[in-house]
Amino acid sequence: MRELQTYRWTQENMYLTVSANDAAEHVEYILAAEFDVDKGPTVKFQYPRPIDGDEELLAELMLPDQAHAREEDWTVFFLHKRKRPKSTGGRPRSTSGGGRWTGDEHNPMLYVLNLANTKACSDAKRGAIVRAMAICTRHSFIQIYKPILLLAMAEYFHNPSIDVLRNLYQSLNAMDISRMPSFGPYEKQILLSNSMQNLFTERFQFQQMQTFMQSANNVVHAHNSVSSHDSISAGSNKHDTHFFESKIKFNNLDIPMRIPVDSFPDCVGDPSPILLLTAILNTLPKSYSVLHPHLTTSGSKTHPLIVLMNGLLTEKRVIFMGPGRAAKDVVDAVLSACALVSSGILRGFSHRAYPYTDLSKIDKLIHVPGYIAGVTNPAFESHPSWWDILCNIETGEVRISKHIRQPERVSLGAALPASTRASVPGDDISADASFIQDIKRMVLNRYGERVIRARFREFIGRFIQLCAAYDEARGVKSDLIGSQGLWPAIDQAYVISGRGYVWLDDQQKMRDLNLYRHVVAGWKTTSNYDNYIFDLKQYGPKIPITNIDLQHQIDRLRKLHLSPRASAEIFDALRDVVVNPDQITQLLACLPQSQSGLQPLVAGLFHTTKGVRYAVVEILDRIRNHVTGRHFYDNLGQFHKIAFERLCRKMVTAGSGDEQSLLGDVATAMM
Amino acid sequence: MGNSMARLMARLFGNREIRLLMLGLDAAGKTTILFRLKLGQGVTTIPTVGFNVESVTYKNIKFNVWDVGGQDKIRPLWRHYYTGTQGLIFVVDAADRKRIGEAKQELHRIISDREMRDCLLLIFANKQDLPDAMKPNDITMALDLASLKDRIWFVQPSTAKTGDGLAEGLSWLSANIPKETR
Repeated sequence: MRELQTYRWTQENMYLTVSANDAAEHVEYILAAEFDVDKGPTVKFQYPRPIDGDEELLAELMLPDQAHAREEDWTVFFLHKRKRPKSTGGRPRSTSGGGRWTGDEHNPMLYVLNLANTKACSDAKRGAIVRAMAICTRHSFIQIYKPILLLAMAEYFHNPSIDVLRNLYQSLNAMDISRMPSFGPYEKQILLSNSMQNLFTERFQFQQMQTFMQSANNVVHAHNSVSSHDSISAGSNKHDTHFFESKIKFNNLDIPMRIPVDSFPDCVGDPSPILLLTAILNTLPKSYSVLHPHLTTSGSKTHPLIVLMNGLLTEKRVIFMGPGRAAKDVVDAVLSACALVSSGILRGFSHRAYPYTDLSKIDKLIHVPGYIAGVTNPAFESHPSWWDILCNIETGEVRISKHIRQPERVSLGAALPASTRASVPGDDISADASFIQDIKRMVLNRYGERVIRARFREFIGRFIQLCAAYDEARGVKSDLIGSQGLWPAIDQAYVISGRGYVWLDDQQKMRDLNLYRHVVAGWKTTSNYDNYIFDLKQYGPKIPITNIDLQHQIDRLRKLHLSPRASAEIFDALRDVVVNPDQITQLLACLPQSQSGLQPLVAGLFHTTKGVRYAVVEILDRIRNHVTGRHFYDNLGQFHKIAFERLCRKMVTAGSGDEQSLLGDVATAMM
Repeated sequence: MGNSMARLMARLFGNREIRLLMLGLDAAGKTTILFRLKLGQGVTTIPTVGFNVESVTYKNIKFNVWDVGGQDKIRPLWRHYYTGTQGLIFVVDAADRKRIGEAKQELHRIISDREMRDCLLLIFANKQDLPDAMKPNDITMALDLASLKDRIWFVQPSTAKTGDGLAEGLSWLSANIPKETR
């Protein structure tokens, strides 16, 4: 019954649906709204055409609570495209996707970046004007539009007419991103988890040439050869390949646009998770009086951050509340939460996100399963029936509602047979505890956000592996296992056995599985799980290496104290399997900077057996000659580089026919 | 010293905290009253987008006052603030005779809500400094307060700009709030 209701809700979405538009414009609408002293929030202009839907709701979203108390505030909201077009004038294209959002490149959502300004003005009735302007785009990287929206808003305050909107619309849509490179899943993963600024630089060559040409032109025009000359070399060297650079001409100003190329759909607006994490980690964790098997995995002492992550994974209704804060703060919290829990691995969170919302939408909001909403109004706190989890970004408290629906008592069977030592809840060596410790250390010591995000990615990756391991241990049929799953049902197909997450010992594995079995059960009922299985089936056939679980073997090298024989087996297998460029790319994706890059491999340069050392040299040599791998090689310490080169020379002098080809490679590489 | 004394007092006499909701038509003076109470001085306010919330301590009682925007389009949102409200402050522009009927209608709509059945009702007949302002008796008539059954109510003339009458209003509230407030 509830399901039916929500389905209809998403169909005739109260958050305003827009008809699908075939033209692939960057920006589909520009809106302007104003707080009318007599009537309340009102939409003033919509360009190029009005959004068919409830204008009042639109205006309320654009003028956040307490906008009158701040000069400037930002909000973000989403417009969902109508899945089934009305018979009049509808185009069949938008019907793709079926019941759930599954299409990848066709994103049926518009991202709206909105700026609200309040200016005291003695001429105005009651002394102030509150205006807002919004850009509705199909790109998730809305942050690039912030500077231009500020400029347009300033102009609109002088001249509140639709001409400003038209001008903005045309400028934004004239942006050229046709040369923006695209990346495969492994390549994106490499970009996400490594900060080297020259990764994939060859794909940006056109852009570099263009910058070069422009600077050269400037030399001619500016007659200022000395300084311009510097800018040529700087321009071509300093380009960070995590971004594609374009520009927009607005009112005769050239505004540079830096578009992140490693962005993923659930990473909207480049949110910063630091404030949210600091707030949660700085609060003394209280013990929970309301327990829920999906959330409180370590009983009443579960850490609030774990409760929050579990809640997001199992799609509970989550509110981020910032009493007295600007709307942009809660927006940031919601978008951060989506980006962290997605990590580019899971998806669908932003489709249920309402980064800023207020009381006027509550009647419809509470029926959206697993919504993630940001509010500034403390009234939400006194209505625990509206939410399952309430995170106060001011105090860092993560509260579980006493009204939360407990899962039906589905028998998950007995707990898995744990070893003789009974598991001690809250035991400090649990993986969750070490996750919290890591994040605490990172936030406290002001680590870069890339590193923090990488740690969350590891957490999410581990959770998925844990699900598969749980299914396997229970011997149940699972979508995660099988030819299209994370690993084949029988690992005879593997050149070297072993798959999944690497636990230090079986005892810990069983404890983790038992701890998480309810969360696993909860996750399997969610739409982000369905999306994940869909993606797995899509990408599965395209994975370059399928006869070994690369991540598993790398993790073994990283975490376990392997015997020389066991590690020899891994290095030999890697040499045989990781050969062509795509395969090397996949290997590199398992070796992120945050986990010390090539370290697990180069340790093999000092293996006790000569043959193994040579195997490692071969792998490293391939990496060094690989278009992306060379940057990983460059990041190695001198010690390892010298060891590698010495071994190369030794192999050459040992000179068997087989190694002759290697000799050639090494020689060219050294030149 | 003063702080620990206050804490001792709070322990002896109970830490009283009262949740008040302040409603009324747009431009009645709600936000001005709120900041007059909070800061003790007049401020120039602009229309409230959404709400303001402040806590004001008066005679050892902490009043959490919610001030919600009054434009007719956003009045349906008022009901979301009802839960837990112990006292309603309804602010009327006593000089706006044209809209007193509208004010009456809104007031009766609010207090007929189930969640508001036990709350005290304080009416500020605001803007008494204006020449044609209605006096408390006129307001009582115009709002038809006599028809209210089982309701403790009071009309207090006030001028938010100067602060006249506001303290009297709070005194009335603190005297009439049930002693066992949790």
